[in-house]
Amino acid sequence: MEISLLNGAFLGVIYGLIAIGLVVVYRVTRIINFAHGEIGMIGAFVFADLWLDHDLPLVLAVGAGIAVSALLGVITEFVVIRPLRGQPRLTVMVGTLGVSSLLLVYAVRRYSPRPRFARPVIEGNGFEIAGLLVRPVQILTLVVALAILALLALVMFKSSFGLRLRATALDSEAAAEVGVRVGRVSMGTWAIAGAIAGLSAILVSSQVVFSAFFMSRLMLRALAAALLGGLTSVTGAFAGGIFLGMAEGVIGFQWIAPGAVEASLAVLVMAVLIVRPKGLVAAEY
Amino acid sequence: MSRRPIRKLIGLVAVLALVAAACGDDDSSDTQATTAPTATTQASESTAAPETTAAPETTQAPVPTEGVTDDTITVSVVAGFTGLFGEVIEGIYVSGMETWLEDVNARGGVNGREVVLKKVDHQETAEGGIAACQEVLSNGSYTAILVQGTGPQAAAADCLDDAGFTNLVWTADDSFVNSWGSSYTIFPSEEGQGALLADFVSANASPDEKVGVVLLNVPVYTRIGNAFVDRATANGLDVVETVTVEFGQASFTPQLIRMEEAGVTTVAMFVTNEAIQIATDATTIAGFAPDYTGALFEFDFVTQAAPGVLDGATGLRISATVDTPEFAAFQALAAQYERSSVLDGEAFLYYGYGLILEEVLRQAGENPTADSLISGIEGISGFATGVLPPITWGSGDLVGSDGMFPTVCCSDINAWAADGPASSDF
Repeated sequence: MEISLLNGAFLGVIYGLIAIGLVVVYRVTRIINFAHGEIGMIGAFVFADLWLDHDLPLVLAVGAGIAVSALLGVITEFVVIRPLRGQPRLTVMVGTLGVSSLLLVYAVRRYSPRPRFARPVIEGNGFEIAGLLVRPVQILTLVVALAILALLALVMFKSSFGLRLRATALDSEAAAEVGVRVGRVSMGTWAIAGAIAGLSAILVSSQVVFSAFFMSRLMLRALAAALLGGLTSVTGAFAGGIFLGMAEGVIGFQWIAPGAVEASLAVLVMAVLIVRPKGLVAAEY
Repeated sequence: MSRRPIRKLIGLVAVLALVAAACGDDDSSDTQATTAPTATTQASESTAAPETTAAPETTQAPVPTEGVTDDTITVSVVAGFTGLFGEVIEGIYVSGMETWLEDVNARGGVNGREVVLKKVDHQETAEGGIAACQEVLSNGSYTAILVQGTGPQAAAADCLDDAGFTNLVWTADDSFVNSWGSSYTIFPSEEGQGALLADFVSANASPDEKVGVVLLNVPVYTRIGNAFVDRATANGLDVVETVTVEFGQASFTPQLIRMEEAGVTTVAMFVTNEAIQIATDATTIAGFAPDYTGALFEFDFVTQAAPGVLDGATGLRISATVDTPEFAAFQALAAQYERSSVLDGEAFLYYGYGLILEEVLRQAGENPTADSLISGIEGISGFATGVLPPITWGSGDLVGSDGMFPTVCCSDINAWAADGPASSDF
């Protein structure tokens, strides 16, 4: 049981990391970006291409992967979100679903639907805790997730961009009235979320089967994690991810019936939302 | 719209999605449908398809046979040319079947007739399978060979069987295979493959072997896996744990911990890409180092995506591995005909399909008819290519081979390696 919990916690770090990116966009635009996973996935493929196939130094390849994802975030904002501003949010969310499908089709055609090799960005023997071998890349993912949380807090509360961002999140029309260039704030938010998606995907790619679908498959859990965190709290989303991962670990260990894990998690998320509609962690940040 | 309703809406959608996922991947392609969208048919690039059957010159004119002229014989090749894996299938087809096509026609064709292949797309859906069947029945083909897919090709083969159209299909599940009269399978049924694997594992098992089974919650995987469990249990193997996992699951550690606690020494996996994750996750559990076997993951693209992870795994394949002399010969032919874009085990399998098709057409005789096609197929006995297991059909025996190739992971290029000749007796 301890191993399941511990493994679940590290799995939850992955869910939480992806969920952070979802929340960053939701806080400002009040829409769920269903293309978040695919935006990250393309960045991970660019990274793998440059690092593994073209022998580019690791740091440059990581930077290129993140940059591509950030750029895709910006393009999504410019091409899909901005023209649909003022439309019902559901319409905009369907727009992001379209982006998701486009990127997936592109990846399948460009990189093949088959799995490919993904080397962890950091290798080593790892260390054992309670019978579970923890790999260095898992520790790195945790550290990066915490660093992103800290960085986001810094940007949010200690920078002028953060101030504009919070103002836009509270009331975009009022923010525009007082001179905040809402369009720029929105684009900046999508760039940050895209960069987080890219970094997440690069770190996660070696921890799951790396194919064009790997982030899509994680998105459902990440969305559930964001919901558990109340959708507007990045720390809540991260905590929600860890909670979800640990629950998955325990349920997967206890029940082996087909669909037991998925059904149990659905009930769990539903129960949490009924008891605490604002999420597990009632945090502003 | 205020924020709370939106949040509730998103919450509801997410919960519904999780509930839907809980129902498992019901593999829509694995169900039969009655509606039929249009299928696409293209003449293969290397030859032109005849539109009409030429009148024979003899005074006692035989009844013209669909798909046969004095100069050509036309065969439909059914696969998912435009599905999710369409581009992959297309590459395999070009390297495998077109290499054979170029070669057989360079050798003068079959019984003096040039072979023409028509690609028919089942679109990886059951509806597409029915449409493909209707296309085959109307596109002037002498016969058809269904080379890929599970549900879609079974739907197509079943439809062709209903129409009494003699065809070759790579495999299907027992419920189809046992009911067909015109669809001849090349390989053992899905359940037959599971049972054969159980025999293979039993033959190599130590007395204290404990087997854990991982089934992907998708029909074709569970069919083969359950057949494995039934036969393994009947063989006296100790199957101590059977777990069902979901498509795209991010971690299999909880299920593997159960296996470790149950003392499992061999994990039999009925999965594809998930095999990589399962074997990787197992390495994180202290003291757990099982042997691996199973079905549906013995593809080179799986092992090559995770070098070293599945080393030592054993299993059975329907076609020979790429470390055989037959593969080297195929490589040379593909290079000769400039069809080398995809030179892997699957292209090799498709080349093997071509060899079987060639023999079927040859056995159908110099004046091929619908009846001579059946007698030709049922006259094939012990046809060995080195690419596929020896094929024998007979009257009332519509399954071509009961055997498979034992294989072990991995060669120095991280591909599956040969572990003996094809056999049906382990």
